[in-house]
Amino acid sequence: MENTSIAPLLDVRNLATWFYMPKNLFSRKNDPIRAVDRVSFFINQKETLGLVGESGCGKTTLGRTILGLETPVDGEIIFSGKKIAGAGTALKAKDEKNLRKRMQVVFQDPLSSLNPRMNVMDIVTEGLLEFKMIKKKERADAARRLMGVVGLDKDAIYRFPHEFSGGQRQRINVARAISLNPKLIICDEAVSALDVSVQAQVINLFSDLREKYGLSYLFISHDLSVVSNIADRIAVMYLGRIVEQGRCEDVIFSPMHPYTRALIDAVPVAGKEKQQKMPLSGDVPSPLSPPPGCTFHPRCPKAMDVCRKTFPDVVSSGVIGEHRVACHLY
Amino acid sequence: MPLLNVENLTVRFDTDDGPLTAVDGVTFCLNAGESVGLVGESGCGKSVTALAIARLIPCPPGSIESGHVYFNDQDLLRTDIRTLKDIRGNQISMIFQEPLSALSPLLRIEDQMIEAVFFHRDMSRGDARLFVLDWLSRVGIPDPEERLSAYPYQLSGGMQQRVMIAMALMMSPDLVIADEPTTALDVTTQAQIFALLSRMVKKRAALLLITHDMGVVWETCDRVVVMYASRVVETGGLKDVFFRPAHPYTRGLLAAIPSLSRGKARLSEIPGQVPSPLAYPDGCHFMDRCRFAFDRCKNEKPALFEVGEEHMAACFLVDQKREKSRAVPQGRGA
Ligand SMILES: Nc1ncnc2c1ncn2[C@@H]1O[C@H](COP(=O)(O)OP(=O)(O)OP(=O)(O)O)[C@@H](O)[C@H]1O
Ligand SMILES: Nc1ncnc2c1ncn2[C@@H]1O[C@H](COP(=O)(O)OP(=O)(O)OP(=O)(O)O)[C@@H](O)[C@H]1O
Ligand SMILES: [Mg+2]
Ligand SMILES: [Mg+2]
Repeated sequence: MENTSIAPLLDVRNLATWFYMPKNLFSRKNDPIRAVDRVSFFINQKETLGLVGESGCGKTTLGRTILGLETPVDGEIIFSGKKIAGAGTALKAKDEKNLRKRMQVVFQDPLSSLNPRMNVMDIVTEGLLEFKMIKKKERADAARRLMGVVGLDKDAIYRFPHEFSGGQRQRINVARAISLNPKLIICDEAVSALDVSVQAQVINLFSDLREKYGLSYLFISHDLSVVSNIADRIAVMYLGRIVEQGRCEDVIFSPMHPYTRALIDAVPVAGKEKQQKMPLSGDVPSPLSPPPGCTFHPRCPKAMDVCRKTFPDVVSSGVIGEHRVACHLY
Repeated sequence: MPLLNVENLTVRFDTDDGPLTAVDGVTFCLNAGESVGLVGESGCGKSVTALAIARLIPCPPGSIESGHVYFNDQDLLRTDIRTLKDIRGNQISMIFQEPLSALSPLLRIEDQMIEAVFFHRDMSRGDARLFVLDWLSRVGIPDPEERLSAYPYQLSGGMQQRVMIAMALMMSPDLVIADEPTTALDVTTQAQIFALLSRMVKKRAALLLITHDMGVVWETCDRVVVMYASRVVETGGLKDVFFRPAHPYTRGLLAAIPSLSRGKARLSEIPGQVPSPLAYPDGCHFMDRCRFAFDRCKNEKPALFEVGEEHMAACFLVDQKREKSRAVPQGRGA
């Protein structure tokens, strides 16, 4: 897959999304929260990129910016060869609508993203009707087909969200997301709220659908174990920046950035020989006042002088340069 | 003699949708100085078990229907409330998932900690302050002197949980019950807290650790109690349960967990879903999802059968195997 000359499905370049907080007593200056800062990555057709990082590092904001729900202050997003965000982009209403069809999202909380007053048939076929892909009388058939695809009871289409379990609700969300034959699905903590025994079912469903429909995913999760199961490539985020990205095996088995190492080390693995751990000290700093230089340096066991002053450039390693890290050690 | 012996504990709740059994005949024990992991999926009754041990179930709507909780041979379910209050905090302490809900938002860290000290110990305020300060630095809080005057919300989640750990340990309890102490925290902070908790608890106290994360159990505990839909389905030593799980649910659970070392192999699924607590089956609660289920599972709830030394599973398959192996020598004799 890595040698294809076909352009990536999604190409994000130097993307920055900042939030400006209202001035108040405590912050005289109007410093922005750099929720996403100079982020670059791509996702190929039929590829899954896993995005990991700790709470508040900007994963959701990045996903929302790609979906067009936040406006970036810098950088650009190219989707299917078309610029959809960045300087000079002016999407026509038609384009915007089309975009929505080809890019879908599945969130963490399955219940709150489903309208409680709509039955499952109405929920999963709403988009199809809106885009006039089916006629009203074809609704039930379309809904039954979608229910079948996500492994739900085809006769349950007249039931309401609250009558389903968490895992089933997430399947309803997935059915709705795939109803318009999208190219890309952004999954934001889509399995995080599910119990382990049900989580496996939904992860497998995502894998099956990718095979079946040639989907690409941006799979956002704080759970490295889940991501390592589903992602072809992984990007690791820390305080708004991607600090490392590469093929899943490379990132998991030969991490380069000290933060990635710490993150992997911190994941308890059942059945693995226990070893002495060296947990990171300190907490993730506030994004309102990030440390100067490399934002990870106050917690980094290998911090050098230069790390306190300048943010490292991204360097590539590997034959095809697909393992990239932003760290002064390299 | 075990430090804590939970026998046949059953807890019910009256809800708007009808009565439900949150904890059904739960039985397990915990020896002094030992760490036991209580695992299971959301709603299986882990927290209710912990609350019942400390007799903190809100009644109504809850009621402890039956059972015993022997702590040092004293049945906590039948002691008078004064003795109980003294045991809580002094000999048994608890750490909850949300530190903020356990800390009073209106009191500075100093005041809440000192108040807790005064409740159990005769000490001057000056001594108590030094005592508290010492504990804050032991749990790795930087600038403890400064943090003493902070309000809980001014501390990060990890710091709040450290304060909770200090408060839980400072009375030198014999038993610490930690209910999902790191669920609200990031992985790197979680690793810090567990390193701290293991180090602090080791040898000093026994730990009942409630979690749904099997990896955490593996790294922290000596023994495991697995619950499913209000009942204990398996208990045993760490290696027995992880490497030789006997209950089909435990097996399914272990195979369903994505893990860093497993790579992209397809996860094995447990079909179906957890039954509603309002309508648990008459027989084995796992029956509907179990591919080994047979007639007996439909009508009878399996007791805990012995699999090996200190390894038990609530499954009729185990009972069958046991009977067969017992039957063999008899057959030979005849
Ligand atoms: N609308 C907003 N206004 C101001 N700040 C925001 C807004 N949305 C997000 N932020 C801030 O941007 C940063 C990144 O938030 P984001 O939700 O993207 O993180 P995340 O990685 O998804 O975290 P989590 O794992 O907790 O979901 C945080 O500091 C957050 O407080
Ligand atoms: N105060 C209450 N009133 C009514 N039902 C309750 C109450 N507390 C708990 N329950 C019910 O008892 C059952 C067991 O709940 P419990 O909180 O012990 O689950 P748990 O195993 O701790 O789950 P989790 O992993 O989500 O914390 C659930 O069905 C729950 O809805
Ligand atoms: Mg998020
Ligand atoms: Mg609980």
